Amino acid sequence: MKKRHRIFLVIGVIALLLSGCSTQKKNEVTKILVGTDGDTRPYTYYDENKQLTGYDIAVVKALDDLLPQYQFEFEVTEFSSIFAGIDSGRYQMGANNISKNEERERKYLYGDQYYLYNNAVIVTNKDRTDIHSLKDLAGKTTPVKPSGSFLQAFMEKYNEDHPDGQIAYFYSEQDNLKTYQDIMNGTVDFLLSEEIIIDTMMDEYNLDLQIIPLEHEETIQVMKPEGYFIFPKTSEGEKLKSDVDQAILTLIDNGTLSELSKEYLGRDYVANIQTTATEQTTNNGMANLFDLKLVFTQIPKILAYLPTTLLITVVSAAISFILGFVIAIVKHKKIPVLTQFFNFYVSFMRGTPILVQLYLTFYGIPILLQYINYYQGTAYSTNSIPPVLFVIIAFAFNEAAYSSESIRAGLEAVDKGEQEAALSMGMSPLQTFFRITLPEALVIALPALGNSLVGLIKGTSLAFTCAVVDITAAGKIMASRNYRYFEGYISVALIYWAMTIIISWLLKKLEKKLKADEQEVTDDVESMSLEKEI
Amino acid sequence: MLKVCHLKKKYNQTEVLKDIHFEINKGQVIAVIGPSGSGKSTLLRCLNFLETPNDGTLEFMGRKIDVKSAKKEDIAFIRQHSAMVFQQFNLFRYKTVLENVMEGLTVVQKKKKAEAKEIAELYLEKVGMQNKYHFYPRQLSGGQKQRVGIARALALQPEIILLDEPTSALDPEMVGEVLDVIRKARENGYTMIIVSHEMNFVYEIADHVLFLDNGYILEQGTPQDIFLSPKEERTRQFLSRVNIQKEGIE
Repeated sequence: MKKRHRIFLVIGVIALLLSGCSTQKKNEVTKILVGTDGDTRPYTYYDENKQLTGYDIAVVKALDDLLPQYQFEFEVTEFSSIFAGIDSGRYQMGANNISKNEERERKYLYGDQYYLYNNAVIVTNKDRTDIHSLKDLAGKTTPVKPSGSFLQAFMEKYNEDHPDGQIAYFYSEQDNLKTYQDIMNGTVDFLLSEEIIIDTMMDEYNLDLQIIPLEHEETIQVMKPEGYFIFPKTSEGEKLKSDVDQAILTLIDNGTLSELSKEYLGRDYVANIQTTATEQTTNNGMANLFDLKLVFTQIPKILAYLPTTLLITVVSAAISFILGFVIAIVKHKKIPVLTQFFNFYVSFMRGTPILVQLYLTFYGIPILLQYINYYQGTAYSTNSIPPVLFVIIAFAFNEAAYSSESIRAGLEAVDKGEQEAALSMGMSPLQTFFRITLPEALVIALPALGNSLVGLIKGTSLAFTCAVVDITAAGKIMASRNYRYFEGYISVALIYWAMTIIISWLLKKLEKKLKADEQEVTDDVESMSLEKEI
Repeated sequence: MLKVCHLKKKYNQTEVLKDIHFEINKGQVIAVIGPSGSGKSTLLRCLNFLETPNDGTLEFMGRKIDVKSAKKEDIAFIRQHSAMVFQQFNLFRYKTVLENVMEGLTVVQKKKKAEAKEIAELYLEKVGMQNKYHFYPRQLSGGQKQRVGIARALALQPEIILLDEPTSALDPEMVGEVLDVIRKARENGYTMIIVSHEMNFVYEIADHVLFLDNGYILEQGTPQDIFLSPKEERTRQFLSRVNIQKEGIE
């Protein structure tokens, strides 16, 4: 064999051996991706150094040490996406102080051994004396995140069971800190929370709130106090579950869990944990992976919120058209001062995401009101402003920036000759503008404006950031109840698609009608040729 | 009825009209000829303030207007008693032929719709467009569009009609039909200032011809003076390219 060939042979064999080694190693350690939301103090959150930390995280890391055959890694996502992620196979485990309920048990595998025990509490304004237990919550307001949490499930069930004493909850994605502020300034009546969470929050943020612990009988109505890890209902999931169960028992026995509890939760909550937990997990077999029928049966329920989407769209579109028109004229006529102001306005509105603008409106207007109240001695309350107004304002102002450019382009594209013809016959500039320039400008601008409208319809899907339930939010809420996220969002997508198809069709008809001059010339072509002959 | 004195117009630093001075009487037709860039269209457009002249005076129907201090009412007065026919026709594209002619009558002259319609139909008939009332400009040929443009101007019954190269955008076949219409207008006694390159037509129809060169009226006179015995070298040079058919001249 030639020398070169021999060298290649040697290299090839070494490479083979090495790869053989690494695959062996791979077979030894299984990577476990753990879904967590990083947003629930003190279980899973980011500390000052932007590190993911918390009781749940620490417990999983302790498990990692005890179980060398696994390598645990975290991925942070929305709470509801943890479940979706296990469905899709992305996550092999969920760690977020997850409590057990029937619906979840149907789809997910719960560990036998829970690692946390908690109590439910009601958080209210410190000056209140009228709330002591669940029944006192009738008619009181509280925000609920449709994240598929225990709280949401409890609220919905409670109101079903107590039609005369319903709690006045509303869906919103606002974070707990805002809710605490709302409780302190009276915008909202209460929040149901967990003892551990609220203890941590009170320390961390110096909150001035009243905490009313619930009796055990009421706690177990609100939530299952135990926190579990969840796993997919597969054979790998079963194996991981039993390994983790064993490891948790070890951590309890050797005191590590108590230590972690003291470090992350403030005191030792582990004492309440019973290690004889052998609850039967009702295994209904693999849940359906995808329920096509559900996609369509859900649509009517989501359509109930279509009026909200349409309301926002139509009112915002109308206001933005008028405002955009004013801006376009100012720029077209180059009116001093106002032109520069509007250039700045358009730049900001088009340069920042609408989502950010919604947040600014939602969180900013109450602050603005507080300032006004302070300096003017008024007592305006954000309660009196329906959130849908925030949403409409935000969308109207945003859309106006885009419309103004479309309209301005239309104005500048109008044939100057026609405008001159009008002037030359004695029409005033104003008459020329309204009779000749404006109609033609609008026809020119129509395609671009129609585009903006279609964009606006879909943009309204962000309304929920301001606690307004539109069809997207409705889909999300519905999915958070039955965990059918994929099906729910397909239903929503179909509704949007149908709406845009209808709107586009209407716009096409409008364009055709306005461009009156583009018509068929059938009969008249004949008469024209007849004339020539004569 | 229109007296133009010392009219000047400057675009940035370029003087386009340097000192224009002429007069037109009722019923007269004045033609403005000359090489490109001599300021012919600008002159016309200054008369109804589509361009704003820099200096000079206009005396229109007895009203004296100093161009530098012209008020909105003065400009409106001129425009309401004059009408323009454009090289590019400039018909209102989303209005029918009939609506185009009615527009000035209803909006500017505040006539009632029924009356405006009658007048519009009358003038459209005069230009031979009576079968096309409900057509849109897009559906017409160039010659037809210009005829509508002329009807639109005539229907206003203006004191003076300004025609800015009315046939320059038409192909040779259609030029004739438009010249016929202008000829008829002249026969009906309309006062007109017409800028044109159609030398034969100018020779036939004009009472007075202005030869514009480089912003000045280099020479003016009757068509016979200008076309048959031009005094200036430049005029001769310009006209040497033109073959006047001298039929029917005294």
